[in-house]
Amino acid sequence: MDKDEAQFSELFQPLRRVTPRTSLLSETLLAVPTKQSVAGKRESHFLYVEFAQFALLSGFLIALVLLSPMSRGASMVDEIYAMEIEAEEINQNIDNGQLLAEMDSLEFDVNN
Amino acid sequence: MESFERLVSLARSGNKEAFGQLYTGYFTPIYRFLYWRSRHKETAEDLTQTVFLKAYQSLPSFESTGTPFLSWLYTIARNLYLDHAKKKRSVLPDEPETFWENLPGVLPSTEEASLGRENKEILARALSGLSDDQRELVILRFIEDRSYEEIAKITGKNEEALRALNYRAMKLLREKLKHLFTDNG
Repeated sequence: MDKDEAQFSELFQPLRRVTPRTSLLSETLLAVPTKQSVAGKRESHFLYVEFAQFALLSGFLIALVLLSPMSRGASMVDEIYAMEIEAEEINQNIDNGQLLAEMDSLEFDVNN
Repeated sequence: MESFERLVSLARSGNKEAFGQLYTGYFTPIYRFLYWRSRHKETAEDLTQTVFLKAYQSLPSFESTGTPFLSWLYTIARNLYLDHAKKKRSVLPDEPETFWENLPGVLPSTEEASLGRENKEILARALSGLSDDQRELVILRFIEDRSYEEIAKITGKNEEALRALNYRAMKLLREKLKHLFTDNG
């Protein structure tokens, strides 16, 4: 603080003597919400979040069930069997070099 | 007596007693700041209460490592006052005539008190002749004794700009005080 500022600071000293009435302090403290009501607010906030999470998860599971082949009438054993056959066919194609030939043919189609 | 950090931590977890201790220490400067900003006792009381209720609700987000606690409270007080002034569309007290009669902290009847009151009135009149920005700065700098660094944090203004604003405010105050003191005798 320079000399000028120090002079003003001293000059304004009488205005620092302003004080609030003593009862205002206790009145404000009475108006402060209790711990329980603050905790209650937090709990209700968490309830909303949990409900949203639950709804999202339920929706995801329902969509998964509706889109699965089993819901279209296929049994789980049939699905696994079909996947095994498909995997075997791919293996055979790799062994026979058929897959490479198919890729070459695809590349030729793309280039022309 | 609990440490400041412990009090903040307890108050954050909803301990009303800890908040009460924090509150007692900072109540007067916040009230004084709002009193000189609004120049209205009831407005200052209402806004002070709101500052502390807001602070209590926002305590979980207060980071003691950054802004000092008092500066944080001044910022809340400042924003509340600006909102209030915007709503009222005027920063003048409701009844300016009674403002001078209701200046708190004045001792009656003695000659010294009368002189003190007179000076207080003159200073308050000079203060009310400044622009809103200048008045806010003068209150924080000369009545609340805050550094430029703190005022910059409270107001969100640049320190250099604040120094320039204060220079202009002091120049204006000098002229106004000279005029007011001459008029009073």
